[in-house]
Amino acid sequence: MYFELIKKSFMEKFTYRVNSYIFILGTLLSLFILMSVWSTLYRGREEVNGVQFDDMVAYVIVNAIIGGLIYSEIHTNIGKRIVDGSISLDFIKPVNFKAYMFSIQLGENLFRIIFNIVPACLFVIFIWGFTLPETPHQMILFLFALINGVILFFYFNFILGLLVFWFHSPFFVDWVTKAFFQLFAGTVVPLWFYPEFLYKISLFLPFRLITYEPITIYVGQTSLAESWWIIFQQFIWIIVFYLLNKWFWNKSQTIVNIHGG
Amino acid sequence: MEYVGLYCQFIQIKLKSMVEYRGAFLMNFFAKSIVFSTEFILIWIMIYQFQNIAGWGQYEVMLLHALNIGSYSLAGFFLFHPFTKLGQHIQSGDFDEVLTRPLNPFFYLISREFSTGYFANVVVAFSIFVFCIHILEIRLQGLDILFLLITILGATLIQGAAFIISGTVAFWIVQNKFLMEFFMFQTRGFIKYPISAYNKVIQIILTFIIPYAFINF
Repeated sequence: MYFELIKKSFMEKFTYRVNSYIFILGTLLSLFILMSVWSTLYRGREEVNGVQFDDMVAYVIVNAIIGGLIYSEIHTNIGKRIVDGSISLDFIKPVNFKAYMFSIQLGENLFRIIFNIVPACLFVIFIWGFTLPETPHQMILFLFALINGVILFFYFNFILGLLVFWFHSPFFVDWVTKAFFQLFAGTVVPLWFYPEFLYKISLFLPFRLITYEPITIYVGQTSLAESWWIIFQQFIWIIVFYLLNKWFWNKSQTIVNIHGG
Repeated sequence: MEYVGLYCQFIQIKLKSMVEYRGAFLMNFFAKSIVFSTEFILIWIMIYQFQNIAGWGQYEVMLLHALNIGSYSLAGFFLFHPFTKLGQHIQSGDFDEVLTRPLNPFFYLISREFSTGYFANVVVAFSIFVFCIHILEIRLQGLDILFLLITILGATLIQGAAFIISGTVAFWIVQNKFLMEFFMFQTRGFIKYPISAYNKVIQIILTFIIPYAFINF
């Protein structure tokens, strides 16, 4: 059934095609700007901090694709449902609410990746080239870490959505966490280039495990043991988020009951 | 000239409503400041390892971006809401209301939807600007300040024009949200960095066709 939902939301996106053309242009432009800036920064240098330009290109492209995969409006959607009260209906529907939201988002994201991010990336690859990981086990570990990262991100996202029960507005939480995410997940500038103290802070936060660490596995910046260590850390954080989520979810249901009288 | 007085009245009403919802305003202010400060921090980090981009240092690029954000927000005060929402208004028929008022419709539109959400941006941009000028040890003399003010005014007008042009397209295509984003966010992304970082074709486009280069570069 969830597969059906993914398909439906994928098809739904087809109805707004003109928007999607402009969207491709937009994605293309952002990627192009980023790549121009990186290539200017790299002008006349072989490598910086052990990172070669090829790695950087791969970073930008893989990052764009993961960015499309973990794009999520779930937390704002949950927020809206909480504010207008329709979440009470979701509680009584005979589906797993989180899985339902996740499937719809995944369908939209797949559409976005196939019709918008991949074309834009092809353009970048055409100009700057693209390298695959050197060994197959690197690729497998990368995919494994990536899936973990996605799960981690969506758990985090659910918690954000549920926070609206306490904050009463979806926007502030959204903006502030987005800023934090950009700063400590390494989605704009990879953590390779971070000053020491900022990097240390990011080590204590889960954000880097979502996009940055899988990509370091991909471009071969980490050894085999380090890759497993990353995956281990991901598991720990997933468990932490899972428990937090359960706790918030139970808590929030009692809040709804109180409001309902 | 009577419009000026009227416009002030409209703005006064908006400001009053802002003071009324103080909590929401402060939260908004706080959240936005964090978001925009992060943008500057990211520029700083990006150039940190490389020392410079096309000969521009960290603080110089931040200065550029402060001019960009500053002029964008100044234009946004007056034009962001009327033109981003124009598509929706046309679609839902609300726009007819604007046409029936005994005023210039353009004037009515922009005075009705003055936005109070840009104080944070201006404050952040201004502080970063002052901070960078201090770090770079630039001394501003009388004429420089005048020149700076004229530059900011010009930049604001360019940003405003971009709002209006991408907004009014809604009369033909109705759904202008994506086009707007394209012009206002993605294309504007270019001038976050000095345009000498791009290749010649882009430089020419940004100078003559979409004159964003004049905003800060």
